[in-house]
Amino acid sequence: MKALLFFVILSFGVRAFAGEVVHTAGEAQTTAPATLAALKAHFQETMPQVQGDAFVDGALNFNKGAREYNQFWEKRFKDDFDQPDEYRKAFADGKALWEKPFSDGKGFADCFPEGGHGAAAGYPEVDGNGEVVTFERALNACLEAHHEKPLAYDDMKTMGVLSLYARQLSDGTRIHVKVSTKAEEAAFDRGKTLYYTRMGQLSMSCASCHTQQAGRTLRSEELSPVIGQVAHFPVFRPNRETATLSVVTLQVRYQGCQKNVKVAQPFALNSTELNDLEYFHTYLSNGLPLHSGAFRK
Amino acid sequence: MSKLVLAVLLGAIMTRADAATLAPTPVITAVSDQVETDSKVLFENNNLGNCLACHAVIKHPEMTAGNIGPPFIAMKARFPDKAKLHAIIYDEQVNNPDTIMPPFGRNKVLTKEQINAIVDYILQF
Repeated sequence: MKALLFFVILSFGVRAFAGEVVHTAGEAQTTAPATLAALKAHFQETMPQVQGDAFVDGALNFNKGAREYNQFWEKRFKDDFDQPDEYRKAFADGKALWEKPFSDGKGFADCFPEGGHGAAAGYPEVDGNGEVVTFERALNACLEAHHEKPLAYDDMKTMGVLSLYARQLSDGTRIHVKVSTKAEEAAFDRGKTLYYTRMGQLSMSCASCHTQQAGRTLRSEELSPVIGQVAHFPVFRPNRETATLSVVTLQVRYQGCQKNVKVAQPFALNSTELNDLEYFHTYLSNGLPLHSGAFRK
Repeated sequence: MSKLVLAVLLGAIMTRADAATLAPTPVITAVSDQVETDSKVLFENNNLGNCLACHAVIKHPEMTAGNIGPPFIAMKARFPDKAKLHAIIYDEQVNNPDTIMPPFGRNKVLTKEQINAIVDYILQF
């Protein structure tokens, strides 16, 4: 009887586990370069019209109306007379935070090479403990190294706008995330497992939408391919009713995806899980130019 | 006389209660507090079936918002056996482990009865 019970429990466990991974492009490959190559081959086949830097435009590649709407907003962003207040304020606040000297007289620019220009393109990194350090975490580490209070990762009025401004210093720099040491490979694999694992009541993985079904239409929006997504964060997204803009960082967007597939308890910002996922995710955009503060619906 | 007053009072209270229940409630509360039975709502609501998110309705292009799943077309001819359609909505991962179709029944997004209602509803397409 005990053996039977054990068997039943085991088979349930296996059942739950077996259903977890979605086998689609890139899942079977064992190394980082092979994973990226498999994904590139998949998108070459499924969306041949998207080439090179166009991957940064994500879903805009599939919908003329969405691209025109996006261009309307991004034109306004650059228009001195018609610039949305939230856009101007976000960059001004981010700049003020970046430039405000610490109590010891140093500043963020002292924590990064070249005063922070191009710095964001090398993040996330893996530290000596095998932990993933995102660019936002490096910003907080800089504050703490200079005895300042770190910023809350969910506070878009501080961390969000600081990230926006600090990443803009790297606009145009091509992403170059390194995966070569054992610790880096382990972090990549952890992130990769999360990417292909089903989650939430709707039992979907990131890969379900952004690899398997990328380019197809879901509730009248096109699904962007996983390659290129990280390059344009943080983004400005409009409120559905008021059309006012909000800053959204990459990990806040991850939580949005998790809520959409009805995950009861989304992973916390700066959690090991989301940092690992961001590391895997950013590696896939290696070679693409950063563009902080894009407009996205 | 007192009985009449009581009846009027009771009537007033009942009307108030009715008005309260008729007041618009947020969708999320409605979903969690009571089991939805209206098949059109089950079919369309994005907290319930949300079928239109992924499936096109060929007869009704104006309803179409997605092309991820197979389109609803000639449903009666394609599914003479309702149980097959029910099984797909309940948990398609059994037959197709890598499908994006959510297991609405297994993960308790919908009850078996609600899935029956959706099956009957989509057979019209």
